[in-house]
Amino acid sequence: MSVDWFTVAAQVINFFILVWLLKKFLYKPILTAMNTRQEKVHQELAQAADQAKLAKEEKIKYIALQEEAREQGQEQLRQSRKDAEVLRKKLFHQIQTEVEIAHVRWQNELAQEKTLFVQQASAQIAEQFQALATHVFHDLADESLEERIMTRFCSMITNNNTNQKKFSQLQNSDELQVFSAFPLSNRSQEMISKVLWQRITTHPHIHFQQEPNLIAGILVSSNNHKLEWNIHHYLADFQAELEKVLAKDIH
Amino acid sequence: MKYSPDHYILLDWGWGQLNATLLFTWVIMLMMAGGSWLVTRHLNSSTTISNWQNLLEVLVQGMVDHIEEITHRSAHHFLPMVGTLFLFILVSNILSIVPFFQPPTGSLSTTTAFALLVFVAVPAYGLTTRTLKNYLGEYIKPTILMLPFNILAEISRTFALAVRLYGNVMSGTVIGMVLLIITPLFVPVIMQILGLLTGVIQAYIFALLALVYIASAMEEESQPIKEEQHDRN
Repeated sequence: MSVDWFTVAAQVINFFILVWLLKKFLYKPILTAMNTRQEKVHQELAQAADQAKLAKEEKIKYIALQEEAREQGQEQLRQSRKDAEVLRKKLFHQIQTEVEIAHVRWQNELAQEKTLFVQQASAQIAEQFQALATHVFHDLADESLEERIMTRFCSMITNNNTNQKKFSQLQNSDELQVFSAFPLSNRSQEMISKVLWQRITTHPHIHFQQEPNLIAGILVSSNNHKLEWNIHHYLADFQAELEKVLAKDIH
Repeated sequence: MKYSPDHYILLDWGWGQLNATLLFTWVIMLMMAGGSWLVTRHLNSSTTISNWQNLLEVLVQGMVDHIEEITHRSAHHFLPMVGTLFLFILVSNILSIVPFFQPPTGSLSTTTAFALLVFVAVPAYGLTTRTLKNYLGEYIKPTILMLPFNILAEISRTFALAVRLYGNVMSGTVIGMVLLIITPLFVPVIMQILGLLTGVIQAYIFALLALVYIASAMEEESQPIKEEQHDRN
């Protein structure tokens, strides 16, 4: 156990050399690297904090935008519903109007058809009735319909109460036109002339003429005044009844 | 039996001798400096580092933390001195298990040199924070009668520092050699493992005591560690 002072001195020098070497190759590089890393980590943490802050702000912005978009969507939905309601009402009104127009047109067409049908039915019925009546009168009373009509017409002329006004209008005529639906015999013409001259004291000239449009009747005319008997008013009553029945059936 | 590597003379120049202590000291120095250079030449500051860099960082950071914990000061000024002492003794003691390797710490000359370095470093560090008068005044406290005792304590602790390390390492080496002669199988292995443990502990103790002596010499006007760090930054 002895100390070699040369070795001691050498070891002191060696130690200083080792300190220098380690300082250069170990402590300084390692501490520098660790400090640099620490700074980097701090910087990254600061950046991360900034980014987190930014992300938070972006999130708030995004939520606000989302809310705004939702409100806009709801507003658009409300507006769309409103527009749809307006359009629906407009279309409904339009359709209603079109339906009403179609209904009116249909009713008009129906009324026209009805009128036409009634007219045609009346004409046919009148025609059939005339034939039937002629036949019946001939079979039952051995008398023609024309004669019966003429008799009825003559009795109407002779009846003072019912035709006074019309006769007064015919009173001043020079000529009278007698229209009949059927040809009148001479005897019938004489009979009519006779009864007319009894009432019209001026004894006007009388012309006889056949008019097929008259339905089973006789008409006396002068200066736009006329006196007639035919089955037209019977047919009018029948037509009115028929229209009433048809209207009831349609409704 | 040669107890100390000082006794293995390799070269004799007359005014000095190259012994195993110096040779293996250079070997250790070469290993430490070379190893550090190899690892630190490709250092990187990213979070992905090599295992060797990681090892050195753990080592250095561990020493820094320990120094700051004990001294409550920045490790900046202490690390080269105390860190080098610790690393040299540690490597030397660990390598003692290598056959034919003579640990320089098993030489009283080496431990004396280190103890003397600590002996000089204590007032040197102390005077960086205190005045000479204030520092020397510590030796006559609480009374001037304590001066010889304080001086004796200073010398004895330096002597103890040297002998403690030398004794432990030398005894481990000697015991190992004796056991190899007596029981060549297994028992020396266990003793070598124990020697490793002792060597590591001794390295720690030596560095720790040196640090405590230095720190206590600087204690009078100590600055808070945070202020020093702040100044450094």
